[in-house]
Amino acid sequence: MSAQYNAVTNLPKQLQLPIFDLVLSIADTKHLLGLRYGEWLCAPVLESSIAASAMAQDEFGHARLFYTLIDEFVKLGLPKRNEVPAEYRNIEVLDRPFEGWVDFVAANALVDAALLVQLEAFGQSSFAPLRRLVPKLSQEEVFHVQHAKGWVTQLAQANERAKAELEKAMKRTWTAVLCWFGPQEDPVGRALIEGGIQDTDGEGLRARWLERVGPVVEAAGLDMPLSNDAITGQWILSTELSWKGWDPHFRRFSRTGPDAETFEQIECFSKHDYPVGT
Amino acid sequence: MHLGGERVKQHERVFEVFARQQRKDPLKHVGSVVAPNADLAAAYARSIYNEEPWVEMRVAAREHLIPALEMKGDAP
Repeated sequence: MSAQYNAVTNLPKQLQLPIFDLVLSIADTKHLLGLRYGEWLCAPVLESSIAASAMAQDEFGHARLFYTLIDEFVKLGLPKRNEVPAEYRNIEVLDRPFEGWVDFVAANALVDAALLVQLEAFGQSSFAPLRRLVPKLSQEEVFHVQHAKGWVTQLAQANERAKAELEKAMKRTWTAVLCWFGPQEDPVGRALIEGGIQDTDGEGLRARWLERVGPVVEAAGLDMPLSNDAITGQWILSTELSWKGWDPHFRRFSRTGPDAETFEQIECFSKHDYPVGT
Repeated sequence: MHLGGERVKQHERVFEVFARQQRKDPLKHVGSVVAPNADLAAAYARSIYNEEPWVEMRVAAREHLIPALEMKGDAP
C-alpha cells in the first residue's frame, strides 16, 4: 500500500501541482456546467426545468467543495489564479451557452459522465480529501445519469430530425470530453497514479467513459465514432485523437476560456467571495 | 414538447413514486410523475420530491401495479 495523505499539507512536493491542476479543472468544469444547467429553466417540459435546476445546484455544490481544496493549495504557496477567462480550465464546450436543448442533453450525457468517471477514480485514493468526496457526490450524480440517458433515448425515438440534431450536438461535444482525460503518455497522469491519487491514467478513464456512454449511444442508434469489439466486449474509439495543441495543465486545446458574457457571471461569483473559502 | 418549432410526439406514462426516510420505515407513496421512460421518471421524481431527507426512492410504472382491489362507481 502506498503512502496515505490526510491533508494537503501532507502531500509530497511532486504531487502538489498535478493534483492542483486536476482539481482546478474539475472545479471549473463543474462550476461552468452548473451555470449552463441553470440557464435552462425553460426546458422542453417543466419536470426537466426542475431537474436542470436541481442538477445545477448539485454542480455548484460540488464545485465549491473542489474550490475549497484549491484554497488549501493556495495557502501552501501554489499560485492563486488571476480572474481572467484565459485562466479557466473548464471543458471547452462549456465556454459558450448551449445553443439548444440538444446541447444540454449532449453535455448532460457526455460531460457529466466524464466528471463522474474522474470522481470514481478517486474511490481508493491515497489522498483522503478527494477520497472522502466520492460516496456522496457519486450518489448525487445518479439522477444526472438517468436524466441524460432518459433524454438521449427520448430524442432519438422522437423523430428523425430530433435524432439528427442530437447526434450533431454529441459530435460537437465529443472530442473535447475525450481529450479532457489526457493522453496515455501524460506526466501529470503518471504522477497521479504513482502517488495513488487515482487508479488509472487518461487512457483508462477514457475506456471507463466509453463503457458508460457506449451502451446509451448504441441503444439510441446514434452514429458516433465508437464500436463494440465483438470478442472482448470492449468499447473502442474508431477515430484517433489528435493531441496537437493540448495543454496538460489546463486540459484544453484553446486558452480563450469562457466567453465575455459568461465570464461576467463568474466574476460576479468571485466578487461575492464565491467559492466560500476559509 | 417542442424542438425547433416541430412537435415531438410523446408517449408519456404515469409513474408512482415511493420513498422512505429511514431504513426501518416502510416505502410509502409520495406522489407521481409523468415521463416518457423509466430513466426520466426516476430523474424527475428525485428532483421534484426532494423536500425530505429520503434514504431511498423508487418509481414504478402505474400499469405495473397489479390491482388486488379496485372499487368502481361512487366509492369514496
